[in-house]
Amino acid sequence: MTWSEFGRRAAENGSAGTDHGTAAPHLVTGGRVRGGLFGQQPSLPQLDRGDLRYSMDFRRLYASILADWWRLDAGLIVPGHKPLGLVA
Amino acid sequence: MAKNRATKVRFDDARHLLLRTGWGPEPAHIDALVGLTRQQAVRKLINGLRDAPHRPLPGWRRELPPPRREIRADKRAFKKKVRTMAKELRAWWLAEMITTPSPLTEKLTLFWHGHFTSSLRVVRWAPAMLQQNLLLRREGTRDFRALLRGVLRDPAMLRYLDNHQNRVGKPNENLAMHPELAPLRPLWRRGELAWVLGLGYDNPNRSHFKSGDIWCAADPQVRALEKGWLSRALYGHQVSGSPADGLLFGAAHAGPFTGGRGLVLRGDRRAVATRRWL
Repeated sequence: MTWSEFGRRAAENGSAGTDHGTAAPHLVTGGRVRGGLFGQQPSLPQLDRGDLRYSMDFRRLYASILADWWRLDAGLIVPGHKPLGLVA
Repeated sequence: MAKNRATKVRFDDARHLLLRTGWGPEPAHIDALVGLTRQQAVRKLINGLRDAPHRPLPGWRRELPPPRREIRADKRAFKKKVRTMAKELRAWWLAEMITTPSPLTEKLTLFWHGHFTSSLRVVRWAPAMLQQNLLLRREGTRDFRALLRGVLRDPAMLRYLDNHQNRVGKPNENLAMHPELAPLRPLWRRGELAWVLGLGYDNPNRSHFKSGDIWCAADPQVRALEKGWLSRALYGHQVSGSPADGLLFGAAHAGPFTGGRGLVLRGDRRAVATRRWL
């Protein structure tokens, strides 16, 4: 599972990079992981003051690790976040 | 810099410039630049930059592939036609390179063809490759953004990158994944790679430290990271006799293991780096 504290802003900055932003995609890989796309890619035309609008709370990813992989009660750690069914 | 621009071009300079911006310049072309300032010589090249070929295009330039049943009806004729057009396309471009009054256009077109790689061997249909060649010279002599947009809609490129295999929710990796992600392609093809899209939280914090704490604590309201989400999750699930719940490689910061039992391995950086999948 990848980890990052934030995504990047959509537009390029003055030094041909991108500034600290909001939403980002994350990767999960492994033999039992169900490959594919989960969730919705944030819209590029519909930005919030130049930032991507996140489409999924990051804690849902944790809920999936806890519940789908480790069979723990994710509600104790990240209440209210539904596992994605990432692991077969 | 200003001094360089005003420097007069000698024969050897002119030859060098023309070799870098074309192929095998003729003495008359070299002479035409001698005595100009460097700025004037470069301007002359740019002003003469053509964005379209000067030779006539093959008659089949807009031809579309025949319907499948027609191909099946006479496969040999179709294959022969494909081969003939491919030969004619190669001959056409070579002749254009040799005879053009704007070799820089050909150099740029060849450069962009190498950058946005495609191949007639895969695309097969020469008219599509010819259209791509025209696109490369039209936009490749102007604005990179327009070129990039054009390449992404170019039929030959879409065929080369297997866009016909792209499905909503099931992208083919060739066009949908950044080339830097190539090492992940085997995992994707095996169905062992999940993309979780658009992750974030309300009122995001843009400080590395603050947002890092939020992700490690699984709590957007966290003030100070006391217990990471993994430490909380593993509390009460410790395997008896095990000295730790997790291994951290060369970490200066326990991250999601903060407040828990993570074992930090500090060793030779190279030894850790050679393990690709931890």
